Amino acid sequence: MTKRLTKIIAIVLMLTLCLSAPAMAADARSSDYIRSVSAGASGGSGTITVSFSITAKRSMNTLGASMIEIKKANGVTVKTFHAASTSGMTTSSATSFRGSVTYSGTSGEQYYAVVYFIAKDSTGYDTDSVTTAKV
Amino acid sequence: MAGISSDHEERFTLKALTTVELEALISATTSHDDLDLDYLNALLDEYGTREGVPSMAPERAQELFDERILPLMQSGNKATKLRNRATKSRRRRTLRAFIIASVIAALLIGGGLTALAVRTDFFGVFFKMGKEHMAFRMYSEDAVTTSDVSESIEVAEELKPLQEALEERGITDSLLPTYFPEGYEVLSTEIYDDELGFGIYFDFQKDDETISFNYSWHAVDTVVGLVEKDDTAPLIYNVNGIDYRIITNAGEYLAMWTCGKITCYISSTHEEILYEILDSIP
Repeated sequence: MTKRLTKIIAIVLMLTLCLSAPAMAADARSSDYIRSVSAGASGGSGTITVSFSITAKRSMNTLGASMIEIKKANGVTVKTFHAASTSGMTTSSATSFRGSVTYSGTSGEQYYAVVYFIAKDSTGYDTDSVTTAKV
Repeated sequence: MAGISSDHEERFTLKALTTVELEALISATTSHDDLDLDYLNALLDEYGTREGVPSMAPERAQELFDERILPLMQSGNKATKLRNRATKSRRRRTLRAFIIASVIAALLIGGGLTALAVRTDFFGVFFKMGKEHMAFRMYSEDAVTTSDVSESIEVAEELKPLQEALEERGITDSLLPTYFPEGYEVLSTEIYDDELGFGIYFDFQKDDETISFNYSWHAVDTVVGLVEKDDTAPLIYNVNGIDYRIITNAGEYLAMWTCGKITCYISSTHEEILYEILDSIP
């Protein structure tokens, strides 16, 4: 009896997942929060300045970059900027935002950044990330 | 009366017994209510290897059994039962883990195959909510400048502050339309300036309909950008020599193009209005 019940539950779960995956994908393949994001890096002599911008589809409670990782050319993270502890990374009650952060590293080293964006309001949130070119 | 958990243990235990103890055990086993024939056979087999040893009186055998063997058997039974229970529990846990792993594997494979069949990003649904983007990169050498005609163009009254904001930043290219639908009012204007460029954002609203203008410039060699989109492929719409990428995203139509290092977006919740606006950009 238990085995039969387990089998039935497994089959129902499988069917549900199989059928819901495309539906979820179709719904999820767009954003109700973010319209676009962009980021670029500039610098040289061991310094990298990351400039980023984000536009939302309506006014957001939190908008901007939640985190920016500065990485060496080999992919090793050397610095992480968090919005909670770095000013100028997010704003509130806005439909757009742009900001920048600067990192001074080792001269002769190449760096790039990964910018993690967030748009959040009372209904939920969405995220994106952009990897800049090496400078 | 099954007190031995395996043949090996059984043999080992019986070998360790003295002949007297063995006799006592045989005597007790045969007189036990719940006779275990296998166990008795094992005892007799072992006893058979010890022929020539004088037998013992049944009373003495019983006495010895009560004294020495019974306590050992009781503790042995307890330990064996515990061992058996632990083994069974281990087996049950292994079986349960195997069933769960099988169900998860079946779900993943089944879902993956279905997703493949309908060409959707199954794993993206879980790990990145299956989002789609139109990604772009702008390099300084990609600069494409439109004709400098803005001064001769009369933009709609509603767009004049936007035109002024662009001109204040040295942008005189024709980035603005001459057409603007009636009834829309300014919802918000946001302008950001820093040493790395600027961003100008104007939002207009009429009831539930919105139109947004977004011009941003990053003073860097390479800009990487993402535009949110649904699963409809971007459409290229060419007017007056400019390729506009038309992207749909959750009920919004967005036209994106670049002018030098300036990224330009115009979005509208109304598709026809968006095309009319684009048609009027010189």
